Amino acid sequence: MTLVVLYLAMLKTVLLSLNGQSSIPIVRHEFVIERKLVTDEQLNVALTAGQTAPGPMGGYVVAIGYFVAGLPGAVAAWLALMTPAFLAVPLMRFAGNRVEDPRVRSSLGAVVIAGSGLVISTALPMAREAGVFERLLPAGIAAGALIGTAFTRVSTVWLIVAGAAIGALVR
Amino acid sequence: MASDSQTRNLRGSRTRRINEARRIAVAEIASIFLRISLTTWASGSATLARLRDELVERRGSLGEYEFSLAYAIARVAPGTNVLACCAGLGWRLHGWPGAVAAVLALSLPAGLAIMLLTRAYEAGVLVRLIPGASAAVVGVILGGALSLLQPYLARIQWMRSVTIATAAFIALHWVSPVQILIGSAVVGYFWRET
Repeated sequence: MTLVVLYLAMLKTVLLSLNGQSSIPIVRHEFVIERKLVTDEQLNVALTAGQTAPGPMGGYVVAIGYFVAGLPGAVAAWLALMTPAFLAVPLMRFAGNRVEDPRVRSSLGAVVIAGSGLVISTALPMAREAGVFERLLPAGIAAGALIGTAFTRVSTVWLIVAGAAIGALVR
Repeated sequence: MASDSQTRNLRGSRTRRINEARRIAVAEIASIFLRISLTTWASGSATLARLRDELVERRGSLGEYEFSLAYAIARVAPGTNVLACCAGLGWRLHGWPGAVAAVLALSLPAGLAIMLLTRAYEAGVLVRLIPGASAAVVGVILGGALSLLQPYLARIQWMRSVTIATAAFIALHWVSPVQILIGSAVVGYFWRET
């Protein structure tokens, strides 16, 4: 697979998804099932790396690109990840002139609120997977990270590093 | 038909709006987004909560509704939400150079870290750390969502906020996120903030 084809294939998967998590089934279909360039095990490694790295969750596609074509593949996937973001600018330009309308402002606020509800809903299966509902240790780690993120200025890096260290030591 | 002077006034007003947002130099935008990228791991909502804190609360460079606009557009635009939001925020702060600086600064450290972590996980180096890190990631994601909700819960409109957030939470079992966001935009349009 050439880098241009990899870029275009990855761009297609990123464009068809609305966030990092919703891209997972599309990426799996394209690269694991259809093209057979990546195994399920490699997809899991990519997802774990994506979740434990800084930045957006959708960043795991960089690891998929790496598995397909090494470092150049990772760069092609990174470019594909960034490209659709710039579509937001013309949309901002279009909508920006209407933001003074109180009804539009109220509407935007409602989207932020609903977006938070969606994030919470999406996080619950991940919590189940991490054993948060079954075991005391993961539950305590998750609760500590939640409080640290929402109510303090502690960097999430340290929360995750602390969680990883506690999990490894107590295990 | 609009006269030439009306057209010029309209263009002038649009230019002023963009210029009003040019309050931060490109290098500073890159620095802010890079710092936040390096210190908020694993959660777009936590990253956006920190960006809101920095750009709206601390610096006052963007209004609450400018941030909400970028957030709302990013949620319904294709691709990775947090990067689209950064492009929108960067554009409001310094036009296209600001958008490019924001997206690059937020995504470059992530790309490099993912490369390194992929190699480490492949080699089985970090396997013992995964269970604890996964639990912490869940907490960070939930905490980030709560941070974005806080300004709305703190105002008088908590009833509206709780209702919309709960409805979105429950509705995800039956309808797609895009449909929920469009529905909430319509509800918000008619059920206004007090």
